[in-house]
Parts: sequence; structure tokens; C-alpha cells
Amino acid sequence: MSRRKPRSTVPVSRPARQVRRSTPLPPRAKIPRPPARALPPPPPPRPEVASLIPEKETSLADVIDNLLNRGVVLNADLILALADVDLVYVRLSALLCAADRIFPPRQ
Amino acid sequence: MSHFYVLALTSRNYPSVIVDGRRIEFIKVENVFAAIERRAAPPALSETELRSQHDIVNAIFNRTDDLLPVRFGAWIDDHELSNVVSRQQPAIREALELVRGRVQMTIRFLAPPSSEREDQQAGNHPTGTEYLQRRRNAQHWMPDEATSLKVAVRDFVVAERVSPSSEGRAGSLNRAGLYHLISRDAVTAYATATLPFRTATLTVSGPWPPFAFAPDPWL
Repeated sequence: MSRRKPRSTVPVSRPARQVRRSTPLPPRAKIPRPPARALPPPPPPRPEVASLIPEKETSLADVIDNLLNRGVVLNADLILALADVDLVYVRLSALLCAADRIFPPRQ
Repeated sequence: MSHFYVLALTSRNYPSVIVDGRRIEFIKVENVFAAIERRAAPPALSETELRSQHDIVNAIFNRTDDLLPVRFGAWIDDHELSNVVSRQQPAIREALELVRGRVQMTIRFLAPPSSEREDQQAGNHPTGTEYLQRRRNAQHWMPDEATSLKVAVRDFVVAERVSPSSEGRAGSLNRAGLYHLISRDAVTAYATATLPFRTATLTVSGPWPPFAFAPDPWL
């Protein structure tokens, strides 16, 4: 088994690599550091959440749905009782909601 | 006995604020606090009053960590307020826990009228069973896009409420609502995720105070 002669990929005619010689730099002058300064306090957290819909564009549909169909109901009493006692008491006088919650759709 | 106009409930006490020229105070009721306005009569049901209350609730919401808006028209005396809050206290506390640090996003869908109306217009008369089936389907109607949209935003959604579909007057569109409760920090990411789905018949709005996540009084 013959051994292959190692071959170089560098052409023979290629000039030898020149090493750059740089002149040594003068020693660095020490730059005086500014005195330590306390960082400014971070801005207070913004309580507002990012807004998707600008305030002016709040549609009436959203306002009605939010305020008349949703939310905690505080002034509606509903009392139902069984066991031979007929106690059905619904006080809705002050309860407001959108009309389509109460009335069937008009034909 | 003094009357209050109650705008919202929250778990902590906050200093009084003046919004839209109206002074809003926080008073302790049982073990929660109510954002109230002292006034001699309830507001009239008008667009101006509705918008004013909406603005006030939004303003208070931006100052608090957890807020349950109260439905419009809650002008009640202190005794009644205590009674109602006391009766619903577990549900109120649970809802306050749920909404803490979160906001509501609202998705609305619109669709053409159901086949029921078309039948009527065409003079067809479905059987009673068909009629009831259609009514039920219409109530649970959600467009196909809703499923894809839900998948797109599922990483942000902490809780969801669905508003049954309802039909408007003749000639108008069906509408359904989907309410998502998400973290306050996730609004921008949520809005970006819903961008490809928004059309003329699918709108996304918010962030709102968690109106749809208040306890249900009928349960």
C-alpha cells in the first residue's frame, strides 16, 4: 500500500504572510470617573392599561351592554319559597336592563 | 338613613376622587368597599348619564386593582346596600379574586338573520319541535371564526363568559358576545393576536372593567 504524499492547498508562489508590527501605544491616561450619582427614581407605574379602543370611540352598544346587561345587581330582590308557602317576591322596580333581555324579539 | 348611588365594589379602600365633576367616595360595606356618590335621586336613563357612568367606572378602574362594576341605577340606602352585599358576599369575594389585576376584552359577532325569520317571510311553518330546535341553535350560535379566534388567544384568557345570541328587530343582524378576562399586561399581545380575525362582523373592544364577570344575581 503506497502512502500518499501530503499536499498543501497553498500555492507555492504565494508570498509569505507579512506580520504587521505596530508601534506600542503610550500608556493610557487615567480618565477620572464622574462621581457616583444616584439613579433617578423609576417612573411610577402607569395604572392605565394599554388602550385598544380610544375612549372617544366607545360605542353606545358597549356602554349599554356593559351598564345595563352586566355588572353587580344591587337592587333586585328575588325570594322564592316552597313547602306550601307561596312566597314569590320579585322586586325589579329599580332594575334596568336592555329591552331584549325582557321582551321577545319583535316579529 | 342616607341614599347612595353605587358604582362599583372593590376589596380595598381608596381616597375619594372627582371624575367628570362628580365626587366618588369609597365606603366600607361588610368586608368590601363600595365606590359611591352621594346624590338625592338616581340618574335618569339617558345616553349622557350612561356615558358619564361608563367614564367614571373606567376612571375608577384605572386607579384600583380589583373592581366589580355595579349595574346602572343602583341608588339605594345604606341599610339595603349592607343587606345585599351581605347576602352576595361569598360570590362578590370570589369575583373580586378572579378579576384582580385583570381586564375584560369584548368580542362581538354579527350574522344574518336566522332561517326562522326567512321561513316566516317565505310562508313556511315549521313544526313545534323544529321551531324549538332552531331557537336553541340560535341561542348557542357562534360563528366559525370564534373557534379559531379562541385558539389564537387561549394563552391569554383566564376566564370566559358567553352572551347568548339574540336577534334584533326585523331586518337587523343576530349578535353574540364573547367576554375574555385577561391580565392587564396582556392587552397588547391579545389585541395583536385578534388582528387577523377582525372584520365588519367581528369586532374586538377593550380593555374594559370586568363588567361581564360580576356575580350573577339569579344564582
